[in-house]
Amino acid sequence: MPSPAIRTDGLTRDFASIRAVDGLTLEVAEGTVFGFLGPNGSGKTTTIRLLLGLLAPTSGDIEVLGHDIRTGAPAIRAASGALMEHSGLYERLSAWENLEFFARVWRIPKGEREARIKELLESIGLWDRRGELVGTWSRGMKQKLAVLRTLLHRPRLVFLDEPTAGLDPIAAAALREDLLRLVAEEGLTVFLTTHNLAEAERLCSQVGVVRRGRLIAHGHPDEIRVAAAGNRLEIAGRGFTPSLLDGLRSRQDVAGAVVVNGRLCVELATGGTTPPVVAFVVGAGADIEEVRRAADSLEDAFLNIVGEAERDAG
Amino acid sequence: MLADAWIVMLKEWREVLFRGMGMRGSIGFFGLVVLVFGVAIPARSGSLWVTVPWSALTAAWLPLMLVMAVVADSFAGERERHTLETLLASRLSDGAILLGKVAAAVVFAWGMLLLVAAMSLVTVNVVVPRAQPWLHPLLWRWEEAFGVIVLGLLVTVLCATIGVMVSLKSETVRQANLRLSMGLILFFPAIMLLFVGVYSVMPADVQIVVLDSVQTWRPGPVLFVITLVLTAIDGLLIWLSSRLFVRNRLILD
Ligand SMILES: Nc1ncnc2c1ncn2[C@@H]1O[C@H](COP(=O)(O)OP(=O)(O)OP(=O)(O)O)[C@@H](O)[C@H]1O
Ligand SMILES: [Mg+2]
Repeated sequence: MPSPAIRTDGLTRDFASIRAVDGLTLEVAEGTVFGFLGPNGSGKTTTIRLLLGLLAPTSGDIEVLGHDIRTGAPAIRAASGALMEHSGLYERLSAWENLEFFARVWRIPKGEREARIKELLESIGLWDRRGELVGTWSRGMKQKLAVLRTLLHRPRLVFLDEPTAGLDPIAAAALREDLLRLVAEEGLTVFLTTHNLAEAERLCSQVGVVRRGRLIAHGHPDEIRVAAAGNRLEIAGRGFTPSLLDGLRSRQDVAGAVVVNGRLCVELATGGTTPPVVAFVVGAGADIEEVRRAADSLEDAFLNIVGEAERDAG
Repeated sequence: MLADAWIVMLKEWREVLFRGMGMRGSIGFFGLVVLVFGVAIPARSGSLWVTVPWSALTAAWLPLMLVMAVVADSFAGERERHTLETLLASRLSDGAILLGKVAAAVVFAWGMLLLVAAMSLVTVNVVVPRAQPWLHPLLWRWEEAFGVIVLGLLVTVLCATIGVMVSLKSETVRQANLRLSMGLILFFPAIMLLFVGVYSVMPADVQIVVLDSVQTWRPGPVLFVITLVLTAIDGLLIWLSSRLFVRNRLILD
């Protein structure tokens, strides 16, 4: 078991009266893509800042790449790349000058520097426009450049705060592919935040869902989907007659039943299980093609989880 | 750290000095400064430029102005244009970032001062008619040369460090500029009061030496005192700025 790239324990950060990060305990394995999901203002950006030592925790421990944040923040930054909330590009410098500055900052030797910048700019088809001031570029072009900048020095770990925001679907897909390739080839670890759940599902082997600074779900996207499904049963098939629905609704172990888009959706009562319900539906003469006990997508799961947490919090 | 500071300094020049005003604007501006201070004024003064002691010291405020022109941008500019956080997330050390920012202002302003000073001597030697100018060039005595080179550097460091600190604590470049111009109004009276203060706490016999050297235009001892005081202040300010630069608070300010 390799040591985790990121480990936090009871990580908490307060701003005046707001608790932006609240007792976050998290592990991100080396060589994986970790997706950090959560509604606006849930503490994702703050967490990245804490992990890079750009904010001091109010309490709790952080270990990144084997370094304790209190003593090893410079070493952590030296081995990481980061795309923060803003692209962080110098708009009055050209794309080339931007990458060159950061390549120097990361001490990439001159010959290698030029080859690396060329390779990266060519990969996004912007090599020909390297001399233009970044300020004149479109938002998506800047975003691509900013992502490349984080990879320039071949870091072991990259933090990406909403990396595909502003990218067109093709560019976003290309970026995802690049990241997955780097993870496979170079053992890169990626910690990313996103609001695009389809993206998290495709890219991440682990996701964490935060709300108001608290981790409310954590695991593989599939696990989260299953967990978030709660008591919902989805049955595809034919023959869902009104009398079948009435029969279901009158059962003790069913809280509700409706047909949506030809699918039978059954809300189990507390303690209710799948097999008796399925047996009942079959017994009532319906043909079943598929039974699922999971949210359709991570997006549904996300909405369920966050909604539940919202209700629990009152 | 020095190598890293150098990288930051070069970035700063490229971004603020050249792109800030546009390439043509900056070259025009620098050219104008050299023309006014290196040619026009010394040409008007003629041989007085080198014979009247202290006259060279009027150049002390040139670096002050030049520093003011660039230093407000140092941190407030990065903050305003949302590049500060990425810079802070890089592998650059606190010292390298801070030193790079201060050095960008100091090397620029002091370099311009030296250029202007050298230019002014050339001008004076060209415009003042006399026999055998090659054998007897009009030059400053060591005191004035020392004033321009060493005190010029100390004043530049002083202004740049204060400017960088103000910029560090400012939200926007505009705010930094406003604060700096207000500070400038108080700067000269403060310096005067400082030297009067230092003078007043000197032992009586030292006071006599200082007063004597001023009255007889032998500035050696005075220069010594000024150098000492300025060096101490510079050291203090550099220390203070390093205390003010707290990486994990900068994005809050
Ligand atoms: N410097 C700060 N001072 C005061 N409050 C802050 C500061 N930074 C963040 N916060 C607060 O902390 C909370 C979390 O903010 P954060 O930026 O981490 O959210 P986020 O999850 O990144 O949101 P988004 O998805 O909108 O980017 C918010 O309530 C925010 O107002
Ligand atoms: Mg955010």
